Amino acid sequence: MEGRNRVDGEPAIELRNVTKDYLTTRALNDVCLTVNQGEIFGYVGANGAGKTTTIKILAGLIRPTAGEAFVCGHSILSQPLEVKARIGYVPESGAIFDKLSPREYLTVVGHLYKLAALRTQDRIEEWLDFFGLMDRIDQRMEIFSKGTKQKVCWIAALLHDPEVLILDEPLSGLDVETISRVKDLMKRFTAEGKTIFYSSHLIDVVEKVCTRIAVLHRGRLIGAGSIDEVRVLSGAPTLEEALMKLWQEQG
Amino acid sequence: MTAEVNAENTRSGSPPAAPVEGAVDWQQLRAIVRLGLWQSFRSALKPGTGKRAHLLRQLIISMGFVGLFFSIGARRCDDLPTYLTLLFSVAFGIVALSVLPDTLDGRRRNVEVLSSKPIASTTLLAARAVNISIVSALITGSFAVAPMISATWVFNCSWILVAGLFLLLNLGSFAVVVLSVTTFVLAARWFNLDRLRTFAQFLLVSVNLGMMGMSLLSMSEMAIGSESTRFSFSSLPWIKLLPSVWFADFLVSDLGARANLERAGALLVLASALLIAVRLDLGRRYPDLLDRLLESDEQPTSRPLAVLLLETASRLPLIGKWLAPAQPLAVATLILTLTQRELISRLKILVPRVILIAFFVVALSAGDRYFSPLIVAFYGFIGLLTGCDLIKQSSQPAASWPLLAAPIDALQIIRGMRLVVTVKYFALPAVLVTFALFLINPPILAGLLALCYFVETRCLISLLILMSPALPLSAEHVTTAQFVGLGVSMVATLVTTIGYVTVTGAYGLFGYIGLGLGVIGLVMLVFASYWLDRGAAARLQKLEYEH
Repeated sequence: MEGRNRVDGEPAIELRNVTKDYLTTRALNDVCLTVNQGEIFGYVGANGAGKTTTIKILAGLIRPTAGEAFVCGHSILSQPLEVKARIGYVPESGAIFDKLSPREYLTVVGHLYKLAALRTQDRIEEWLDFFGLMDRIDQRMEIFSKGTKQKVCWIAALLHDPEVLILDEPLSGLDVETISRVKDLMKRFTAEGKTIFYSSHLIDVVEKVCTRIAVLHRGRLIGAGSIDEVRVLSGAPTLEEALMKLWQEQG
Repeated sequence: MTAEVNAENTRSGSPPAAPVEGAVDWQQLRAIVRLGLWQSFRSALKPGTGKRAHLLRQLIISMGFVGLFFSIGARRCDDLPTYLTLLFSVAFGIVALSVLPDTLDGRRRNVEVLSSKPIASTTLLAARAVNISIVSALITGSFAVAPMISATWVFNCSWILVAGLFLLLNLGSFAVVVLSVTTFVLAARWFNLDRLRTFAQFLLVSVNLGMMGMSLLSMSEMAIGSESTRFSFSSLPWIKLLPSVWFADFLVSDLGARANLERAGALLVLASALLIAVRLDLGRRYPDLLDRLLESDEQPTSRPLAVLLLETASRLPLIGKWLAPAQPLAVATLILTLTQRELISRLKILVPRVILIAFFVVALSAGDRYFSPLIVAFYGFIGLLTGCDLIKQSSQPAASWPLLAAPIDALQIIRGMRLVVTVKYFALPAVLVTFALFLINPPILAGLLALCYFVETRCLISLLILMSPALPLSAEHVTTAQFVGLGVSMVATLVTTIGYVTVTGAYGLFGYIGLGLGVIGLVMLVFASYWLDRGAAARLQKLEYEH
């Protein structure tokens, strides 16, 4: 990880009593969880459970109302730049300035992460090639499909070789072949000791790729553990049924 | 009727009946009109403050002020027909240039939302007509209030006549909008519609600024008590060929054959517009046109000149990294490229630039060497203010998340914003002011004054960010109230004037020792800039992603 200090055994992500209020709505309520280095951590919950709020807090887009979060041992409140340098973020919306070409957009992103100019171009081409977009490198993205824009978001998240990937519904709009390649990529990523925080409501994908999960319901954490632990605890044969049972128990 | 049938069907559990082609479904019409008005006027959240920007209120107030400017300038009209001709022509011009076909995004959104629904084309056309009549009435109505009141004072018009003229003005505006929008859409067969929109908006800004100029001239004449030059259209027979004159003369001309021909012309225009509004379905009649309207403008990407300039500056040995460091350069590149490709940004700065150069050339050729730098400085501040607003807005504010997710300090973002404002919105006044200063002062004094002006500008940019913090490209609408902007520019000009007079006076009295005063001022400005930068950065750091 090129000159970055990482202490083995230290949690990659840690949330301590994180609460977030939007005007009169409490989106997150006293959430505590720990994600270890080198794991793909699934973050599941129904629509409006608070998944995207958590992700935005971790990515530094919003601040918690109360509590504290750490990424690679750095506080998101007191050391936000240290945290941001270590994470790659794929947003749920796939929002992108589509009047730019992938080359223009990704070059700007590379410079925002202070990558050297030559290295940025190499990495842009490397990743565009991986996602099969080399022939579209200089086209304006406004003519791209949602899935193609999502691929550019993925590249923007991977460009600076982050230690932690924060993914919010990252497979949205991607075709079957790309999904398969992305899953392989995620496995390779964690094999290198890096960490993925994976938020989704697609339970079958979470079940296949994640090592541990946390279950969110109306802003509260109602369960966490390995897939098997969650299944066994609820006495359900599949993760989907286990989650349904947990949510029903919570009303 | 259809609505009642649908309601009945819903109660009985069967699916609602499809609307009948050829009949207007009033329930759908209400929904479409409401949707159109929401899209046009719904309040938008201001970034940073979280307060709502009331677009409808802003439209009414700004058009009201344009009308006020018109009233002040139009006191030069010699007679009522001339006044009404000018009023109707300007009102029709403004409304035709204000109500334009949707942008590409808007057109696509409308197709997605409306084309998939079972809506008869008759209903769609009727809804479009209602929407146009409401919007044109809002614009014309807000604009015409002051000129109509002015007509009662200046030309002793009765209130009944004014009410009739007001009604005619609104009917005429409706006709003008229907005809101009239809022409615009049909012209899309040969021209890119978004380019036509740009051209129309450029004309609109020119008309508004021209009226402001006229009224400022009139006000200055009033202030010094001089008699203004009056004019009349009565000696111009060709003016009667303008359709706006047919409406303007409708109630005030005699009952002769020529006047009645004009009245018939006005009625013909109105009837044609009504027929087009409720009968001409362009999408059905010209299906290829609809496809063309939904095409992207797929031009190859080219980098803006300003970006190339900054990149070249960043590669300069020794000072390159200081002039344009990597992160601010990335922020500036993003803003410059996007604002260049979004039409509104380009056109908003074009007109002030043209006016600035014209003023400067005229002032210098007339022999003025003393007020030119200050007036140019004033226009420079106005441009700066516009620039500070423009760089905060984008048609895709939700895409601004990388500026929050990347490890970039708020100070670096401010530096990037300042690079853009300086290069794109301030370079021209800076060059003109420096030129004028060197023309009228000894080099050492001119150099010092120019430096003070640049640092003062730096302070002003930071102050503007501090007052209204927002990340670049993070808001759909950013509007600094015109008069607040004018006020800030005037205060900045006043400070500049005091500084200019003091330093040049001290230099005249004490020579090089007097320059010390200028140096002290410069140091104070540098300190102010430093602290304003930090204050602005602290406010930017508190911003959250709002999309």
